Amino acid sequence: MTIEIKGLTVHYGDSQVLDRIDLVLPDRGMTALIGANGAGKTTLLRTLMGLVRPTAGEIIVDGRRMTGLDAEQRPALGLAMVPEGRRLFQGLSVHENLRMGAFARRDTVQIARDFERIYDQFPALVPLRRQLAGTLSGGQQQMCAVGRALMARPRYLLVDEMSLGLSPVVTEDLARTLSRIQETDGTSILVVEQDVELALDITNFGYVMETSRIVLSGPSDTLRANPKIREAYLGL
Amino acid sequence: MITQTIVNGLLLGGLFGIASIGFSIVWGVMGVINLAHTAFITVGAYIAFSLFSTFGIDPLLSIPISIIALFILGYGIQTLIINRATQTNLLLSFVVTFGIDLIIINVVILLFTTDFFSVRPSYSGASFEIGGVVIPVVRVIVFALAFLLGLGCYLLLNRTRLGQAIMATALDRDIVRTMGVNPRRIYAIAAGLGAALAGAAGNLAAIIYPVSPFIGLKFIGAAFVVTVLGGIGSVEGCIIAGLLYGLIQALSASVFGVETQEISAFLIFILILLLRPQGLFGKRFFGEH
Ligand SMILES: Nc1ncnc2c1ncn2[C@@H]1O[C@H](COP(=O)(O)OP(=O)(O)OP(=O)(O)O)[C@@H](O)[C@H]1O
Ligand SMILES: [Mg+2]
Repeated sequence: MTIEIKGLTVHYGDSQVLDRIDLVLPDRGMTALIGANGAGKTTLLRTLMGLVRPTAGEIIVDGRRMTGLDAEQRPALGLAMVPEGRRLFQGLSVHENLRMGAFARRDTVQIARDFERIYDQFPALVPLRRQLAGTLSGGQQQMCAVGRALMARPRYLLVDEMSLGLSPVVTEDLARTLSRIQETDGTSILVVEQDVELALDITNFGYVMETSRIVLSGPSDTLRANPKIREAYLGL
Repeated sequence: MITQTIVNGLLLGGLFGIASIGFSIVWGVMGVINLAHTAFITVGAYIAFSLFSTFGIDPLLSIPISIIALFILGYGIQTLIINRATQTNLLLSFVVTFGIDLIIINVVILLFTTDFFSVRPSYSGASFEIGGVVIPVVRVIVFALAFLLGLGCYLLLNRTRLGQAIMATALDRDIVRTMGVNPRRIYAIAAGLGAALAGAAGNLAAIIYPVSPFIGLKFIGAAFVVTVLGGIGSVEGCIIAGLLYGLIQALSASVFGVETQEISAFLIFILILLLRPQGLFGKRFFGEH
């Protein structure tokens, strides 16, 4: 599944948050989107999901223009997001949260198998099935949030700040899970990360955003070797 | 004597519960305090009355009709007016729903005047006695039906795909969209469900109370007290708080006189809220928007 973004511009009121963004998210791969706080990364993801309406430009998914397509119609096309701050349904149990992830699906039998798959990926969630999501630890919540997005069986998964506030061990674990999903299911994944080292480590390609524009892009290895990146993001 | 009072209070409490569930759901799911809720109850009562007086339809059989009619009314009002007018702005929701209430009640008065009517099926005078306690058959039927409707509503919200979507929307109406849930549609369904339950309550009330444009107003105090006492948006809380409300009213009426019953219920309500602001059965994380 390929996502093409052309001249995408977004305003919040009078202030411009995305300025003519052009990028291509390739099929069957992991792509990184990095950039300083407030650059517009979350806004780009929310616009892809249809939660924010662009003022100009277009998003094309597998040749199909998304313009005018409401957020609630997009999961059916294979888009899912792990939102910034997790945004679990705190008053619902872990299991109910996972089930909500599959809301747009009708293949009951496969959904049942996918529950098992998620619990296999995240064994820590098994004893927490019936616990309210709002009472989980940060790491458990993030596993649940990733699990919920995977329950949609997305073809393109957008992951926003997965590592925020998590221990390195949990972060590694989640990153490994994403890589595994990418390999076994062929799900394409876009990761927005504060942890630039990790992001460039698990992806093949990366984009760098600075105040509402894409300023740099290239294979992740090349980006990692780039002196500017090393200085600004890797602290080297 | 005291047993009789307790039984009377509990039997009426079922009706208070069912009259409040819809109000509670609408408040909990979309943050709208629906002042037209009691007008929906009134419409349900007039549906029972009209079908009974014109076609001789038993008021118990008209319940499904009241439910369907009020669902459509609630769904329609939400889609045409409230979804457009308010985005969980509490003050605006007061103004808009108060206006809707006025319109509905005035239409009722135009159609039926302010006269009092009664719905008296053949079994309305029947009662039986257990250990000196007299139990009117109608009230038992009303209680049982109220309980069943409450149970059905609980199962709908907690055990079905639609119910889960309603709960999820109540918790985060933004992120549910990324899962394919349309919050406006969910709001319309929740409003329809709330109105449908009000319609059922009005239909049941018509069997017990005289039918007038003000029959719904009997429940305005109950709706607030029971909702907050039970925990906003909690169906099971409403049922239990409804019973409690009926009980307190009945006891207060028999000990201090009928005119004190509303006051006592409100006083105990305030007391419980001081001790337990989330209500007796408040659901965690709900109603935090
Ligand atoms: N709902 C909103 N209304 C107005 N301005 C907003 C809104 N959301 C974000 N912004 C602004 O838009 C800009 C981009 O925000 P965005 O959240 O997309 O950045 P980000 O790259 O994800 O940052 P971070 O790394 O901190 O998550 C910021 O200046 C922010 O203040
Ligand atoms: Mg962000």
